[in-house]
Amino acid sequence: MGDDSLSAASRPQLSRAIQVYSKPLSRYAYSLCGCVHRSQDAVQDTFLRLAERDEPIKPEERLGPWLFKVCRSRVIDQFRKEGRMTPGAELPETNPQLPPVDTPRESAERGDSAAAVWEQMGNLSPNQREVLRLKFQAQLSYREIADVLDLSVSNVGYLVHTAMASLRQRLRTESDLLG
Amino acid sequence: MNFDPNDPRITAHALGEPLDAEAEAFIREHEADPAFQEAVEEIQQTAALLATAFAAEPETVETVDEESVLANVSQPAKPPSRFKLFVFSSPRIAASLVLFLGLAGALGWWLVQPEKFTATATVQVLRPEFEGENVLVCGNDFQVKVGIAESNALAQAAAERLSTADRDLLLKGHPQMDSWVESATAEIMRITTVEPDRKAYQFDINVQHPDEQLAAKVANYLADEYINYNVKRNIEISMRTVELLRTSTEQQRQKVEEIREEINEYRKSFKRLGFAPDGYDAKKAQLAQAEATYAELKRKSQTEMAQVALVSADARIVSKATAGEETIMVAEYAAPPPAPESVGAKDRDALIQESLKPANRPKARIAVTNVSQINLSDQDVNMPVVDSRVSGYAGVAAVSNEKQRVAINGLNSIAVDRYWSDSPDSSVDFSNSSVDFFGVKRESQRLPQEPFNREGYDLIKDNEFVTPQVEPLSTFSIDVDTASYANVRRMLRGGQLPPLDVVRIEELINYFDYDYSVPETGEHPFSVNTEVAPVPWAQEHYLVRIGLKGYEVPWNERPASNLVFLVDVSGSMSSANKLGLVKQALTELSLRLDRRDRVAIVVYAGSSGLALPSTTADNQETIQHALEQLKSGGSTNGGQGIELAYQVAQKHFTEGGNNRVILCTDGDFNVGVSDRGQLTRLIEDKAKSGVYLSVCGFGMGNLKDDMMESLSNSGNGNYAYIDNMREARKVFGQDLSGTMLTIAKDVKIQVEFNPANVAAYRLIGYENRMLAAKDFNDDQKDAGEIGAGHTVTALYEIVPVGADSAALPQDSVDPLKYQQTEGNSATQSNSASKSEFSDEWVTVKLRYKQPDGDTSTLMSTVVNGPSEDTAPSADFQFATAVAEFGLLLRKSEYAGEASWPAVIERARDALGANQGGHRSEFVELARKAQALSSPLPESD
Repeated sequence: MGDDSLSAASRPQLSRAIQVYSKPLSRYAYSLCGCVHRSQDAVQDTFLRLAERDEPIKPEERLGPWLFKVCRSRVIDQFRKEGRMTPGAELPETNPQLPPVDTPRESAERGDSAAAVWEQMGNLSPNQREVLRLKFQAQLSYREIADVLDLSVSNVGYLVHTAMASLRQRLRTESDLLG
Repeated sequence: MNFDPNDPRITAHALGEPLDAEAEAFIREHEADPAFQEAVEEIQQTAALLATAFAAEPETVETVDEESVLANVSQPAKPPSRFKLFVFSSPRIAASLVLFLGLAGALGWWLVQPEKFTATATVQVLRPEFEGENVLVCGNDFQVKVGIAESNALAQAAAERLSTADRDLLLKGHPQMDSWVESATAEIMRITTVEPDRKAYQFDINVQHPDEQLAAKVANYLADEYINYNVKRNIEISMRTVELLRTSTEQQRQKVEEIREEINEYRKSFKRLGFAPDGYDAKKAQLAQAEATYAELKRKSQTEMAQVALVSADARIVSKATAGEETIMVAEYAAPPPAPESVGAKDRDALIQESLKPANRPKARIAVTNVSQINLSDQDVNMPVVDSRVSGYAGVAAVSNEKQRVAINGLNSIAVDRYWSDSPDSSVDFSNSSVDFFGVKRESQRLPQEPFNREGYDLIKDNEFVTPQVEPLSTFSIDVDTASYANVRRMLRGGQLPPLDVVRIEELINYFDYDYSVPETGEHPFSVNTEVAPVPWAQEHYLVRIGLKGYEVPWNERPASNLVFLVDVSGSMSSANKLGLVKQALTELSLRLDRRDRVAIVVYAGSSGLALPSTTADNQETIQHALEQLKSGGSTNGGQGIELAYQVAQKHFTEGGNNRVILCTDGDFNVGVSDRGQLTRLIEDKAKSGVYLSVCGFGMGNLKDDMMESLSNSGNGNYAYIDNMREARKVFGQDLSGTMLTIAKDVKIQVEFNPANVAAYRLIGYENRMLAAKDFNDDQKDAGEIGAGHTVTALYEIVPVGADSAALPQDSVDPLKYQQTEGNSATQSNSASKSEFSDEWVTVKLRYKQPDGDTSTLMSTVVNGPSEDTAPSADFQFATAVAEFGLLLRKSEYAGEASWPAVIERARDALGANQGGHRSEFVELARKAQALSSPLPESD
């Protein structure tokens, strides 16, 4: 317990990580477990892990992939645990699902197109949705997504590609967003 | 178009992913193709749409806000404390650091959040290998130790040590709940985290609070109390081991004596006959062997005794929490240890007591180890190197701190508490070590109330003698519980006389099985057996015994069970004789179930949860696994758990089956619905659903006997106290059908006394089960349940008419004018009752309901006076011995001529089949109680 043995993620780093990542992580976690409380727990846990992380954060390292990966495994752990343990009196209630397709009306056009995209996204498989989220919300590269999901890069490429192709197809037939 | 639009490389390219050489070439090849460009553009369009869509994703999720994360991060994050404290203790450096951080651009929360300090005290659990082979410590499981550190009991102990000012500071901004101790305990639990370091066998107690001094103080108190707790626990455990050894030594001694006696007999006949009788040599060999065993046992128990004096906390405080640059001294530590006191002046209890008083602790501990030399100086940093085991023990007394160090030398001197020298020939001589041994004759009396003991018992007042003229009817509810006996046993074995209110005589009597006749016809679920015999402890008095025996249900013909184990996993359950035993007991039980049965496990601590959803009992592996996984920690909110357990039980309700919640707890509910009345009402309400409740009490120290007894009473249930595996086997093995299968409920007994023969009567025990006479016929009135094969015994002590007894409540009421009584019946000589019922003493009436019924059935039987020629049955004799035992323990004013030797003799004569060894165990307990209750000789 030396005096300078702050953990790998120093305070400023931690603080910044929270600023940048708490939103996308929360959404990601929510998309995985479909429960506000669990996703919050998972995200909080993720940042705690960051604070306790043993290896130092290299200057060139992008934290994102690491955080998403940890967050994902937190969620999965929770599910595993819940096989036995259900918090509180309520019995299992979740099925990972999309957030409600209910967008604010004020930014009308943007809202409309987003709503249409969300609607079509509902027809994708969960793992397709997940890669899209990691790609476009978390803005991870294929390589990073592959790390998070423990897949090969080409596998990720294929998933992204097919997801986008089928989404494009649907948007084209069901809406006028694409020509 | 000479490319495949479904090639994922196009997407990768469009999204700007880095490409490998082959893909690079592929792209370059088609770049010029307008169709390819279109495809790329389309992909980019979609990508833009997706990015927008994700950005516009509705805020259904509250994002984790920075402050809440940071607040949590700073707790378990390694040791930010030192760093922060360091910063704030020297303003100059702090300023420059802040400046530095400011330059680093992350000033933000540092300045916003400076008000939380984390103080850390580190405790090292001494590894098993530090300890010698015979060391009497148990539970080396590190997890358990950490569990103790996190426990509510510890927090409470620490809370109780806080000064008024500290307490106010601690509770500032937190509304007080019931008492300040509770609030402070809860608050300490909240601000404390325990961080184990498995490798170093250490754990840090981190306390976070705006006030650095307070944070450090609380951390130190917790560490200190942890040590306290361990010392006490280890002493208790060692005591018990020694006690066991002593018992077997004593038995062996008796055996040796018996053989000697026999040999003497042989010798005599040898003299007479002039030649050696058969078997003389064999006897002699037997004697030699028995003597050897005896010597061995004696030696062992002496070694163990010596070890007791060395008992330590097997843990030490490695570093104390600091605030600023000052070490916060727990006041008592700062005081130099006083000169070692003579241990001889104290008995064992005083010793324990002493070592537990925080203020005296260092002194007491030194008294225990009887250290011959203590150096205390600023320079004396070099601890003399003592061998590892001794240092393991001594480590406790050594307060390690930069400036002060207590160095302990001469640890080879062992003080043995006089408690241990009580057996007549155990004048041990540890000649090579300077042992002070005090030849005192017996164990001390009951343990004084210690700070850790927060057991709760209801006051019991003995039933009084009343005359049938005033109260012709005596009405009570049956009680099949046996908890009191197990509890009494635990205390007696621990060298302590039980407090009076622990002793519920009816539970002592009902602990044992009596050989009553099994109900012959199927008409009633149980048989009623009565017997009359003289009272052994009061001349001319008689005992009327009313014995019920439920019909037996062979286990494999039982109805299907739907069980919910409701397990308390709060911090207070962490010791091995609680949660460990719970697991074993429930394992025992679940192994007897099969696919017809269902098991669910609900746990509760700070929050409650389903540890195992209702599962058919053929899934043994799953059940065992779930049981193994149970861990303790946190505070206890019984109410919520009970709700959930009943909910689960109702969900899987088995019609006509045995629907039951089995609550395993030490009863120390300290969060949420902990109000006894409220809980009782909750249970009463739930009991109406047809789900029964079995309460199993575990552990000691904070056993809330009163709470559990009343819960089981109001929940259509039974209450058992389980203190060891043997008891667990009795409750869940041998007596399982009785515990689990209710064959009749709301069983009430009403006895009418014939004033022509009975001058006065008194019900022994059942004090908290008395009912009003009118409740007997009131089917709304709840009463006790009887399980399959259960026996229930009630004893009435009766003063017959004509007896001259001091017990007669002579001057309490005037003779009645209108009733037909002894006094005025002379004027009504043709009184029918006189002639018609002249032999009858009492009429026993019983009411019961079928387990699922709502209306009661009545049965009645008449008991005549004693007949001259029949001697009381052995069973009856034994029951009277148990009753007498209870009266003595309760120091009852009705104990009359009751005496320990009489109890022991009668019980020994009536051992009968002694099934399961319970009766012989009783004899042993009676002996122990006798030893404990004889007055100590004045020690002057």
